[in-house]
Amino acid sequence: MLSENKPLKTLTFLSILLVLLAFLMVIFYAPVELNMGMVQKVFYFHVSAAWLGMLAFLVAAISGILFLSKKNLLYDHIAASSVEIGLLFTAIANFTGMIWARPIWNTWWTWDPRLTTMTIMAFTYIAFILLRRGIDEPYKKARFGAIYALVGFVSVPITFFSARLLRTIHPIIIGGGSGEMAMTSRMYQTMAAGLVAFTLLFVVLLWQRTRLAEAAAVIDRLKAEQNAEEFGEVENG
Amino acid sequence: MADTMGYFIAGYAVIFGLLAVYALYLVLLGKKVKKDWEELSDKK
Repeated sequence: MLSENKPLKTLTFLSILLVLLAFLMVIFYAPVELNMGMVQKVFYFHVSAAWLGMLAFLVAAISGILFLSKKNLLYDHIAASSVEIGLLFTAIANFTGMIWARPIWNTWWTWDPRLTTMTIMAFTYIAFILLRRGIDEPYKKARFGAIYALVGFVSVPITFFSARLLRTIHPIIIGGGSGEMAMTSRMYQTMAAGLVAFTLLFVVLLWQRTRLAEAAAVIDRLKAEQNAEEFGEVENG
Repeated sequence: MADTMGYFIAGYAVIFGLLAVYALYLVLLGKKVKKDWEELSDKK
């Protein structure tokens, strides 16, 4: 159970190294933005975290489809793990956004369409975790999780396009046309480094969390079998 | 240029803090799974 996994260990080490490298680029390579000053540099990891949050919910939705078609509990473990990690990245994006907003918008929070839809998305997936915990039978739990992950995914494109289609004060990084944030090539390179580092970190976390979920499920099943045997013995006299 | 260094530090403290908390959660979860497995093996 949970035997040593060399590729996972190597990837973990590589992801930590890449995150540190991206952070060094944020500090030393990316220029300081003239109006916002140093707080603008929070944006490099903020964007990566927001992107990874959405990607994690996409992975959960795809895993949901795979579970519904193949009935393999592995996909349920991937979906649940992905949602958990997606919430971690969404929390990072939300909190860093608030910290950036305080000196730039002069407020920690405003009911802007992007911030509002992102919060609704986060609560949708918090509910996924809480409701899923209320079901004991593994296949029932997995079926509920799969359908929820699919329906809940509707909140992701709404969040993504909210800054592009609705009136918002949230900056647009890519695909914003005239409203796009002005960035130098060094800024784009640093953002790309952050995205690559966080994507690898996501893969590592998902792999690790899914392994743990699978191991815990095996233990639960064995415990249930053992309990059934014990009760059987008592009943038989 | 606005002096926003404090917010920069707070931002990255939140990022690395949350990642560290989640990493610690995974480590503790791993330990619990190993302990449960050992207990189960002993019972057998």
